[in-house]
Amino acid sequence: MYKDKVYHTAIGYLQNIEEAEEITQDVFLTIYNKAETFRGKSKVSTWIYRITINKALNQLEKRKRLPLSGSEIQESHSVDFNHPGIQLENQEKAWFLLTAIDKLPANQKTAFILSYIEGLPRHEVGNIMGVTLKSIEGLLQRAKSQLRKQLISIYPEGKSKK
Amino acid sequence: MSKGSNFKVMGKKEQWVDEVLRSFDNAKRAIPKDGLFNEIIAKIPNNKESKIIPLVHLTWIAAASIIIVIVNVYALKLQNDNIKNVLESHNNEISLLSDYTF
Repeated sequence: MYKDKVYHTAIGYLQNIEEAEEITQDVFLTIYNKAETFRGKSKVSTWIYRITINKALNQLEKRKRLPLSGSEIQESHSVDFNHPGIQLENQEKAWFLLTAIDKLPANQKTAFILSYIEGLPRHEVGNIMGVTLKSIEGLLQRAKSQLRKQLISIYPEGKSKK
Repeated sequence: MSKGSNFKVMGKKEQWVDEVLRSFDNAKRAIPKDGLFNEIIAKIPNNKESKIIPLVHLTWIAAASIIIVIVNVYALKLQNDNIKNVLESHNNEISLLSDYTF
């Protein structure tokens, strides 16, 4: 169902359950209000993903504008976050991955979240982002190399996150 | 730190990074709380508010429509007159010819 797709995508971006719920509500209200503007040139799911991504990225921008220091933002949004779909033994590693994803540029972040977290095929990611398959592959390669660099720099040296 | 132990540490880091990058493999989809859909439904208004067109706009639309109708009627009248004139002149030509009888 679209509700789950929207929520799962939003959580990948926001890493915060309350905000993901808010965005999900907002997305469905937008779908209701703008349904007549949908011209059927793309799949309904593509349209819904686009709305979700825009809302999630806007929410991330809003966070940046909040008068909080970087450490406070970090504290309020990701330190205590455990992705609800991840098995317990992978929770810590998934937390490191989400923390690194959070630092990616918007287009790399979108390509990575849709491909690896939402598990969409590359051509569908391309349709959603309005770019070619080749561009998606380039974005994913750059995202992976950025993530590797970041993860090596935050390697816990035997300590856990908490 | 010796070269060998450096390689060992790097290898460990690389392995850890690979594991982290694969941490979402076989992950389940995050599912929202049960009440979320009901909350969304509750926020959707029962009837979409109809758009209210201001009276001034309606007046302009009416005036524009009247002008278009008048112009069209005038154009039709002109066309009719033209056809009449052409027919009349044609009739005159015929009558002129019909006068020439031997």
